[in-house]
Amino acid sequence: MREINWFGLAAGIIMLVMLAASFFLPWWQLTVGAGLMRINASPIATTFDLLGEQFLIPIIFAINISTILLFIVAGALMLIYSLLPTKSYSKHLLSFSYKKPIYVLISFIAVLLIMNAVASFLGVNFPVMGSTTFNFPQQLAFGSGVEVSTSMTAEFMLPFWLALAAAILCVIARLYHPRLTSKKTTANPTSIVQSTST
Amino acid sequence: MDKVKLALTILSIAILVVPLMVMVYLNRDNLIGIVLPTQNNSQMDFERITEKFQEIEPNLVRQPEFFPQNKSYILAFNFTNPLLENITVEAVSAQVFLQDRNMLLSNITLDHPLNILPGQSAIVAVSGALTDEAITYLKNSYSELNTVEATLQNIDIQISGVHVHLDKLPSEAPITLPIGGLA
Repeated sequence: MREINWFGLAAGIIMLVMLAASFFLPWWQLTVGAGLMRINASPIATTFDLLGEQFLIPIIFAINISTILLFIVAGALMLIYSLLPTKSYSKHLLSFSYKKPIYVLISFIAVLLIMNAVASFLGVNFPVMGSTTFNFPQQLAFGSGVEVSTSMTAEFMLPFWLALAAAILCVIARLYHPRLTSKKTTANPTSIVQSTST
Repeated sequence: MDKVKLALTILSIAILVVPLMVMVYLNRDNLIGIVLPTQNNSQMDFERITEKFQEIEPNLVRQPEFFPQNKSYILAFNFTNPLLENITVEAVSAQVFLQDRNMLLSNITLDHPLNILPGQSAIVAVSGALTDEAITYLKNSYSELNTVEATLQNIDIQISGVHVHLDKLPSEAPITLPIGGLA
């Protein structure tokens, strides 16, 4: 019976589902007011909505393209590995693919926390999760006698949680891999006897 | 199998580097543009967008209406939505002061929230009743007049989750309040 790394199979499928979902939903969204401004942050597609007008930053767009390609390749290779875990090249496929969602997830969270720290340093305290009220500084050219405040709400959305699940399953798949290769070894003891006698 | 590992390593590097190189090449005449926000392949015009937000200033459309039977006012403001998204005028409140004496005449509030579609205008009516002190003062001091000059102060407006407080209207022009029939 052919061995399958079921954890890897699940990880590969979830990776590709997560990738598809990321085109419709961001990993993390910050909403200012009742939607007058939105930041849709994701390694796949990062956009900014300001008063109904959408814009992006070219270098982030380039990083998004890289991440899309990375997940396509990693997801496909994880599926191939999962169906053929005992082939001689399979460990290389696993080694390439299981790390990618982990690296991307950790990098995304790290950038988010760094941006939050930098914004706090500049006097803009936005939440990473949950809601808060932000009071615009008076010197933001609103004039004396004018105060502006707004609510800010942030949340992690479905694609983020799918990426987290994929990363966890990737780790489990990597930890499970030796069991599959050892099963193959114990299933073919004669090959070991032949090789030692020669 | 080192060939497989080598191929995957080269693939990783290509995936990471090529899109960045393409972006640098496309913006080779203006490298700083890589890190600036763009819209429809051109740099974002923030000034145009913030000007739109500043256009959300209410204008009084007509003279306030006074209802002597219950000593109340209705002030009608015109709000225009210059944005590409719906806006909801969730709350409006202000204090009406007698200009000559800076005496509180009334607190006015919005009766119910109002949704304004992009590019559309809407009349926002705020209402309030004269205070007892104001009624007494106006009867005693302004009985021969039909109107008084008033100012709006401590204006609070909530639009789509953004709260704006103005100590007074930017135009500072007084409002003519009818008081005919008060006596």
